[in-house]
Amino acid sequence: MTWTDEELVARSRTGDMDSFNQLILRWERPIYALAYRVIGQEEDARDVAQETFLRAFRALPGFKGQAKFSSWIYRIALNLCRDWIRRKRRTPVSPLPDDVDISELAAEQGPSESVEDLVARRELSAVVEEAMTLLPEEQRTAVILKEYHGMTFQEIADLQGCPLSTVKTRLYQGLSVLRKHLKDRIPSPMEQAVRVREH
Amino acid sequence: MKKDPEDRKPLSRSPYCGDPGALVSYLYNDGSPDELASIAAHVQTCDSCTSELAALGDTREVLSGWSPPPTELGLTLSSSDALPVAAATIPVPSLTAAVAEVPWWRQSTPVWMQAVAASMVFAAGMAIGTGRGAAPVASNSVAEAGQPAATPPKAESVSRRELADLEQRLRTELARPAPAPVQTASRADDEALMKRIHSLLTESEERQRSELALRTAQVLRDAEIQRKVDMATLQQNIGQIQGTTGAELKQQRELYNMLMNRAGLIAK
Repeated sequence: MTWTDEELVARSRTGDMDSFNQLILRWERPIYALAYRVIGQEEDARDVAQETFLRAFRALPGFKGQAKFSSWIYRIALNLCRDWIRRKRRTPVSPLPDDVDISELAAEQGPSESVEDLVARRELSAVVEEAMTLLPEEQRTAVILKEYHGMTFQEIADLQGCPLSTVKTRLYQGLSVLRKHLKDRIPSPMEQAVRVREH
Repeated sequence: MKKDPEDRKPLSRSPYCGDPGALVSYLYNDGSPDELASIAAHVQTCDSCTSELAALGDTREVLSGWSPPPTELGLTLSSSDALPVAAATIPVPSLTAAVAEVPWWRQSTPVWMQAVAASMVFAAGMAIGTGRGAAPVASNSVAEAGQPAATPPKAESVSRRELADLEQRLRTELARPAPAPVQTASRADDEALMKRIHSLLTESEERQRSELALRTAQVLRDAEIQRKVDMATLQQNIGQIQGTTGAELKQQRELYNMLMNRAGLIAK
């Protein structure tokens, strides 16, 4: 039987660890992906994800279900990312293409992807990562939440604590900067993306 | 994005034209149906907005190629990490959670440590007190410049002896094992601590084992990919060498033919 988030939260609040671990299993990957894209360090993103769930677990008694569990946990993760960025005070995303492990990308794509496609995807990821570093934190977060987590403008506005119109502006400005940078870096981004996606 | 009025088609005059919010709403299909329909109607008649949306769409296409490196997460929490407070039950926080949440200065200290600390404070107080007793003599002697401070030798010898005794007592207390009552009082805590340490060690071993397996798999994958790349490079190089060798052979053959022709002509 598949429990909803709310049901699992209710069970966790009574001390049921298995229920909370189910929530972790359900949300660990999105939270890790969010943390990685925001802060750009694999190990630190993993730590942020772990800390997010630990804090959520400890704060469960105070969580009255006024928001969705996913929104709540995203908020915790974003706060931790923000703390991390403040603490580190360094470029949030690692720009070096060589840091991307080809074997990991191979594992992600499965054995069917050729080495050439793998290299192309690796280069594309590196270019996007680098472009993301150009965006201010708010714009980058808005783009990430919209592009990779499919949140609505309203959800992003709630998470970022700003008006809906601000979210739209951040997205437009962010996409414009990315567009310009990617255009400079990749002569034909569409071709590359399509080529990679075809496989 | 905004164009001059003459560049725009007449129908494109719309409050949505050039509005980033409207473009983004349309781009992500996130808005009320009426709003989206109005923007769509405008976009169909506006070249500027159409091209802008196409460019933003291309950018989104590229962005979709960015994925975080996959990693084995396997995050789990155990009841010892922290216990949620249920309304009807009184929580019994685990040792680590309790230690983590209570500041270090509020954490409980074993009785024997408290006794040692008290003794040290007492010793320090004694030393200060003795020093103060000698101080007036020393300050009085300031007026008599050049003369050494006259300190009663008896007082000095007493304080040193006391300090020596105190030091001896402290050493004895420190060397002595913790008193039995304290042990019985903290036995339950110790057992819990030992259990926790044992579970942590087990978890750590399991984690290391899984990490080792993961790393091994990664190394194997790495080696396989490297082998493929090397093979591809090798084949490419062989092809180049073959091409080069063929071209040289052809040149030599042509040279040979030319020489033979010339030799034939000379012979004729």
